[in-house]
Amino acid sequence: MRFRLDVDGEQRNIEVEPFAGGFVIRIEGASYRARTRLAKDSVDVRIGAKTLRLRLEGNEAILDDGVHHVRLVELSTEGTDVLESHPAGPGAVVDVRSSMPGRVVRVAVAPGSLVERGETLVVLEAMKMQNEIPAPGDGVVRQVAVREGETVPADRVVASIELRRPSAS
Amino acid sequence: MFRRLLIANRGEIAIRVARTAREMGIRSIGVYSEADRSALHRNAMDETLMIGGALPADSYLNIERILEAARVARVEAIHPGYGFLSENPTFATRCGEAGLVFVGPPPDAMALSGDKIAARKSMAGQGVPVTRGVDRPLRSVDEASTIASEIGYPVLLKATAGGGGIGMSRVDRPAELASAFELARGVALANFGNPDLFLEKYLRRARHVEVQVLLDSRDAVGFVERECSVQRRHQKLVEETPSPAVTRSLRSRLIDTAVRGLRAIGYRNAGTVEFLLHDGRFTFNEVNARLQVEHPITEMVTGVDLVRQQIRIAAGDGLEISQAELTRHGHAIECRVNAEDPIRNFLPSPGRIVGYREPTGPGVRVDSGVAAGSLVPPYYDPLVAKLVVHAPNRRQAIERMRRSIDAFEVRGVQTNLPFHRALFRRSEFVKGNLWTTMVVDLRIAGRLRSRGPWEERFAAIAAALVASGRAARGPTFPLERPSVTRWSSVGRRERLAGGGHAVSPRRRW
Repeated sequence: MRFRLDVDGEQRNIEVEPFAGGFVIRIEGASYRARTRLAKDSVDVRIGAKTLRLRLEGNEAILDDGVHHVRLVELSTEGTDVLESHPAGPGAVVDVRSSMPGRVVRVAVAPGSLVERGETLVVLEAMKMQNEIPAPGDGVVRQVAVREGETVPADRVVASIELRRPSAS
Repeated sequence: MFRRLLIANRGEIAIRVARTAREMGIRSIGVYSEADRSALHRNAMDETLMIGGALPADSYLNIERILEAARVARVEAIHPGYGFLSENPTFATRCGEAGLVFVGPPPDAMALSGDKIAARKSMAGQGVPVTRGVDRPLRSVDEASTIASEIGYPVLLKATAGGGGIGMSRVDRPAELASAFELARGVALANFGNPDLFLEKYLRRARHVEVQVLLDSRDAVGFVERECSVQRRHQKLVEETPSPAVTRSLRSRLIDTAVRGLRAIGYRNAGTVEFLLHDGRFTFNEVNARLQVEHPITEMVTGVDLVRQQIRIAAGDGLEISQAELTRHGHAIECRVNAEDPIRNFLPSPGRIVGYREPTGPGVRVDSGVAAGSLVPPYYDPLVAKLVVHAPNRRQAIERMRRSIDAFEVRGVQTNLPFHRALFRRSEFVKGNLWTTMVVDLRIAGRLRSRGPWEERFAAIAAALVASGRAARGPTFPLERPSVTRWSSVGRRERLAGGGHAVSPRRRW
């Protein structure tokens, strides 16, 4: 399950997957293993050696030492991010998203372009560092959602690809 | 002395220069781009002027716009900081033509330092040892290949007009040379407008040490060396002074060599000569014709304000100290705090800083360009702050740095602080066993998997939402405006997390 979580005004992209009786939680590159235990009106979450007791009330998560304002911004139960661990079948149209906020310095493809897995679709630049966004699999570019010179936030759709073959990831 | 100084830069360095200007009774005129309307450096100035668009070429790199701002603001001098136009001889020349004093070296000395081959030749001419290599641009791959086999692999291809670690390419085997040559030429052309390359023997497990020099029309002072071996992609991450590898006799040779080398090219003002230390010997690397990012560590151990000396030299007032008067105490270390994510291969992480708290206490100095609420724009350097500590010896400086890293909180953007935390725990670093590729060789960033307590808390909340079935109901939490503002909730969180500043809140979680 993927969602965007806002805690006290700070947002993160989060992916939660069941794993060995608990969860693996990935937050923008870092991963945590958590075990949870449901009580009547609270949830105990154990991460590493620490256990946190949380009470969820309305928009608030209440912990022993603080109250956080929590908001679920976007939610998807399917894996939209084929760059990670969700292979999409042939014919599927997948969205490719920006890995970081930045300026689009190059759009290397146009709608209708045939692309191979790993081929650069768009080049983003932030803080003097260029980052190439690759095609997740072989296919046809259906849509290019950004223009050169434009500034995009992180996790924004930059292009959509109709896959020809399943991406072997 | 000048009455009005234009500071042609942004971020922490603009603020740092303005502090000294204020102490000297000089009014600081700042400049800013459209992306920096709310930037912190504007607050440090007496006056500020907008100079153009967000892209560096439209503002901080735009000579016409900056000279126009200088004319409108009726300044007498321009301090360029580092980066941007600081090592651009054309800019220095244009300042002179406009009747403005450029706070930096004379344009011809700057041009000579910026031409890597000319600088190498000039240093060799002064008897300064240089790394084995060529003293002319390589005309072809064949020529490069012949020379590389003569001096032996690995070799380092370097851009003649390069600098700042850009345009360098290490080649380990003859088979890799042709493609590396073409690639490096492309990078050099794109970055410096000049594709010329030369090559040098690549030194494995070398240390990077450098000597800060100040020169006025009569005198010169060379400072104790800084060691800057902790780098990633030729970008420095941690600097310290003195170097744990430099003996007293080597130190005096390094200082003599640096002062002699800069004098020979007619250099004035602040400059740094970089060397590589290898098998107990040193060779010349390059000259940095500017104030450097890591200058505060030298200030900490000597008590000399380098920017003050720069401004005095530029104004014709000369140095306030001599080599004989220079003393030094203790050990200083700097960590560059970059808005980069060490867990995701140092991917840039621009954005809004929603929570920010700096470490304080004895021997701690933070030169920062941001505060809570600051926007870190994607257009510029990722450096947001420099964390500098000073202590009686290296061991205590390391302990002080560890405490300061733990007490430094930046929320909203990712920073490389977790990398620094891991580095300061490595035995190689603690023992002073440093080399320029240690970050990669020891996979220091590769071992980072998870983040500090704040991110852990995010994970716990996410797990609770999923486990309780709340997340599966979709964005069920009402999307109306939060009943508390972001700032009140940040404030409340900080109070709940301990509120005080004495102990890092992470300890309490």
